[in-house]
Amino acid sequence: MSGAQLYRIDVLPKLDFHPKNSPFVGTSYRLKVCGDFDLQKAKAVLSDPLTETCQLTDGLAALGGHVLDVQFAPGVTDNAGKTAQSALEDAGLGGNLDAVYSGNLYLLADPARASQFYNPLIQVGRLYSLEQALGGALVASDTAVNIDSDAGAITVDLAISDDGLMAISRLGVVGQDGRPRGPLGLSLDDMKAIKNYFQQQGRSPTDIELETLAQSWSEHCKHRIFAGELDDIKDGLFKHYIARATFEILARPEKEGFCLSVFKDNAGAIRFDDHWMISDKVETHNSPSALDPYGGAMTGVVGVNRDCLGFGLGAQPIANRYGFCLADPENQDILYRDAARTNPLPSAAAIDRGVVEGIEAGGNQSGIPTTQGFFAYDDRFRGKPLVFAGTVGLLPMMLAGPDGRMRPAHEKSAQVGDHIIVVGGAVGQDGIHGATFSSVALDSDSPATAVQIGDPITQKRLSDVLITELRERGWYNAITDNGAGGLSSSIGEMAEGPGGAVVHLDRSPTKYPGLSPWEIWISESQERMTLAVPPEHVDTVLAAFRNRDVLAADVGTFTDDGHLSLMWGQSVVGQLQMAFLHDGAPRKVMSSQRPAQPKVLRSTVDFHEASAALLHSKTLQGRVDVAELYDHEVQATSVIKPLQGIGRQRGDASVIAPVAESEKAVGMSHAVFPWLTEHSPYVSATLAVDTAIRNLVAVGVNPDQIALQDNFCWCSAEDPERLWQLKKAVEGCYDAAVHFGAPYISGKDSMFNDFKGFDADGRALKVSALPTLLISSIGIVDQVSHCQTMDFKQSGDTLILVGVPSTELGGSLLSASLKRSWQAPQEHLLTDLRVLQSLHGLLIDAKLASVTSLGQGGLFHALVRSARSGHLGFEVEVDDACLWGEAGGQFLLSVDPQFASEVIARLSAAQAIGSVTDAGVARFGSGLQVAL
Amino acid sequence: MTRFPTSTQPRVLVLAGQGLNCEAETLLAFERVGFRGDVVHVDDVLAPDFDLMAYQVLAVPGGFSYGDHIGAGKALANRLQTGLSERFARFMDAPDKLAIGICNGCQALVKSGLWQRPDSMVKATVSLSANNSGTYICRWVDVHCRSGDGPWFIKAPERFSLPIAHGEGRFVSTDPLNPALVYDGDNPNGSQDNTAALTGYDGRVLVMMPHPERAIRFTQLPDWTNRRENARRLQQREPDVGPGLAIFASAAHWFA
Repeated sequence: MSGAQLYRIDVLPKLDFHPKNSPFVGTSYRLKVCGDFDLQKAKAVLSDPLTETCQLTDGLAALGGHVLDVQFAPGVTDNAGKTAQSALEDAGLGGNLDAVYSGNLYLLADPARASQFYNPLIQVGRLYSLEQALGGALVASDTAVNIDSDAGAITVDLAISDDGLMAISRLGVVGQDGRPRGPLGLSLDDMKAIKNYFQQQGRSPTDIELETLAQSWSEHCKHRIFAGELDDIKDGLFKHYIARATFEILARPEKEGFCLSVFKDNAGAIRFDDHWMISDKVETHNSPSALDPYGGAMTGVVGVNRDCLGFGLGAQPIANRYGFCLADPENQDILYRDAARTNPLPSAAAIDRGVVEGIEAGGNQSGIPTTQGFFAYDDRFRGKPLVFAGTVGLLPMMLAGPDGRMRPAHEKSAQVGDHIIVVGGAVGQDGIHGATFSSVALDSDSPATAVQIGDPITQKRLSDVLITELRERGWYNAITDNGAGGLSSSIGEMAEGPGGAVVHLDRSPTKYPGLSPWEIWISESQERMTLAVPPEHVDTVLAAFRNRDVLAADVGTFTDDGHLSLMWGQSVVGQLQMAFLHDGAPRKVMSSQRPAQPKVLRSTVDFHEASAALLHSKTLQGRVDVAELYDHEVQATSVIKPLQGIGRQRGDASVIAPVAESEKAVGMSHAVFPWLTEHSPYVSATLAVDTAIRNLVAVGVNPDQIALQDNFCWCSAEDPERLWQLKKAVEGCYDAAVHFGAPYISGKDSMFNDFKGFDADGRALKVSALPTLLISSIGIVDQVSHCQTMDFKQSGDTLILVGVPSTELGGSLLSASLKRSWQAPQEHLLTDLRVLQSLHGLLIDAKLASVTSLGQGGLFHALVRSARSGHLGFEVEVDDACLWGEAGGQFLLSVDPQFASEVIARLSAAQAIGSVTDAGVARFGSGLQVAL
Repeated sequence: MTRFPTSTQPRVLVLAGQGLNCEAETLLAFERVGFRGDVVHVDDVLAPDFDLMAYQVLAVPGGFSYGDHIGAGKALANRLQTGLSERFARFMDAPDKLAIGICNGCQALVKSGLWQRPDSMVKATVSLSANNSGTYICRWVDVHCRSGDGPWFIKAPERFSLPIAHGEGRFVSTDPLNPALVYDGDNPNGSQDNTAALTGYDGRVLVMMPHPERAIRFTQLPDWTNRRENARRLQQREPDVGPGLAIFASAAHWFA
């Protein structure tokens, strides 16, 4: 732009206000200005006169070290820049202001650590000595996006060899610049099916058509391993086990009306009371988090928030869940994506910090309590971290429709003639190929454009309009999230009902000029949702969003002509039959093979070694510091918080009361046994279901009102041995769910959590994540007064163990901590339903002073954690071989001694094992003890 | 709960939008003690024809206005300063008005200067800075009330617990502060003079970092199951409200 001038403003805390233990020192703003500009006034707007300074000398001079100047690469979401621009405009400085970019300044004692503070995929970091920085080296540079547009579509010739087809799938369509655009992730069978389709049509596909099919048929969107034929399971793992379990359970008379929506929407939903339903969805965001831990985790949480907002006619997010499977942050391994060792993975510490802060930013800024979470540490997660993010939502049972009549709020369908309204953020090149790339293993071809950063405040504005201004009015027939695959997925799915759509891609707002139609169509740029709006309400809906500074565009119409038609100006750049788009993908046919059993030891456990390992386990400690980073009190609904007792220990379940007028509440929990999968995949699943349910019953949830979700994060899922483990685990999911009468309502799988790259010496290696099944549970608390926590309450109380302890330690947390292979349980008895009912009755009758369910770390961890949580100690007489096992079915209770015999009588397999003592010491009998 | 005749039932205006997010629970807390009220988008309140005087209380709730990106509450403070400072001063000049800013609302009212009388003789330069831990903190803290007779504290106990949830809650000033609430024991953010809350306009404007609206039920207390067990063994009744309700009940009492 001619005549544009760039000013730089650095805002630094004055010396007294430097945060402790943090190398971050300040924020830089670069202002692109045309004409006169009041820089002094701008400084006053962007800084606090009492605590901050815009003079580098004041801010830095007294400190030593190097200055790291970090700026975003062109086109990366820049939330602080956006807020600064809006603040300057509010102050009357908008007239000549063209753009504002933000960046960060760090002060580092050790310049070698600079690479830990920025991600070269999305940021530019420049290191200066203090003298250079003070001497004017920190300059302003423009980071506007300039794209040489190749607008329009190109055709792709598929009349080529199989190798040629696979080259297109692996590297992408070759653009006019001669460069491939990134992976389509399709199989050879897929590519051949597409080739045949276009031969029948008598033409070659355009780039946008190939991209559309790649998105819609991706493992990410179509779950083709779960849908495909595996061994003798012709109908596929999902239908045969997961969905069958749910439909068998829901056919039972006592479950009538419990589930309102299963599997078909962005989330599943259960009944809360006569007026409200509760939705729940847990997502994985592993691949984006591997590329950029902060942005990946943040878009994980804001993305699953949109799954909630896009459930039914729009559920209000009322809680976030999270889970991290990570390498120990002290792991020093350096891994590279490329053989030349120029492209390193973020360090284990940077991944740990990044994902934690990503959930913090996404959850806290959105005003949604981030409640239930867990950490699991193992160095096999070094190549690809597992990042789970979930959102629970609240939705009225009935809402008004466009005709003014009430309709069930979980049902929706776009109607022929409805306009396609896209609201939220604008489209950019960020987030291209997220869906196709998360369906393959990570390597050096993984596209950096898949990296995104979320903008929670834009999404909050969108959510405010949707929930508080539009939802009750009935102005739209359907809504969905633009997640993986962007518009191609959201419009493609919504068009299934009416039977077609015409989309004008040139009408979508973009972040910068020059985007090609295929990019607009598949970009996963964040904060966008799609609504189906009847023509008579289009103007009102557009105005409602625009009135609150939320972009909204009318990009097309739903039709019934059986085609998805994509327009660019007056020309058709893509047209696909709906039937081929949704049902044209060839089914996968797979076979599995049972792996050899790992060798096992038969050795005894040394109490001191085992107790030390568990007391130091980061997994069991559960990162109490992180629970405090996440606002779990916003919305004022907390009943059982992430940290329990005056000793503030992380619990296994939390409870919120989301409806102020109701005595009812919602409990959330989870269970994960990643170390067991290799040894006994079936038990890793049944135990996870058993534990996720017991965790809820322990805090007061009604055992008859529990629903589940499955998140399978597998590795190398085309390997027959991994498929065998997968099959056994899914079988376990079926058996356990049917036993408990707890249906699956939603889920998500991620099949290729493998990293292929190079070690510090340049040797090729593959790091596969432990095959991990996360079971998330949600259930209804009939009355908040039924709730109980795990902390011991009073010295002298009787300790009661419910259930049968296990001495099989294979696949336990202890075996992982000590790196020993013991015999693993090949089956386990699921908790007797009568025990759950009796325990629930005891909570209703107020006979229990504390309850905890045994999980990772077994009885040892349960005792120690409850004692610490209550600032008390204990004395028990148990065989120390029974302290470590993780078998299901067990609870630890503390009770007022006057109720002990009644409690034991009302529970089967319950025994008194000792008593609560004053603080300080844990005594296990036979002279064994540890300090608390 | 104070029961007002409909004709004199005080009305509270709770701001919302642009990233504020505690409006619903803040209104609920006022309603619990007898107020009625409205949640109104900040853009609409700043419109010149908005009738602020129709309300008795202005509440700026917690949240992350504008993402807190140029400093917590700073962008909202700039907007309030430009668009509302004169009308707010007129509002507070009427003797029967109250205002409260909680957390992000506190940061916005402090950084805009609205919290104290423009011509105040003791006008202090006050701001809020990053917690000295360098991190966001969500935790319950104990507070000690130093202003027991002010409109916002008539019904408040001397010592009670409230949750905090902020990254920039450290009050700072060039002058000694005269806090209405101080952190009792542990100072979670390094706040000057242990300040958790200040008042302006002779106690009628309360700006506080802790969240009283998150502490209106007994079962919101972090140790409620422990307190319940103690009460059961002593055959006492456990309380049915949380300590934060006293702040709102004080305001209701002041209007009654």
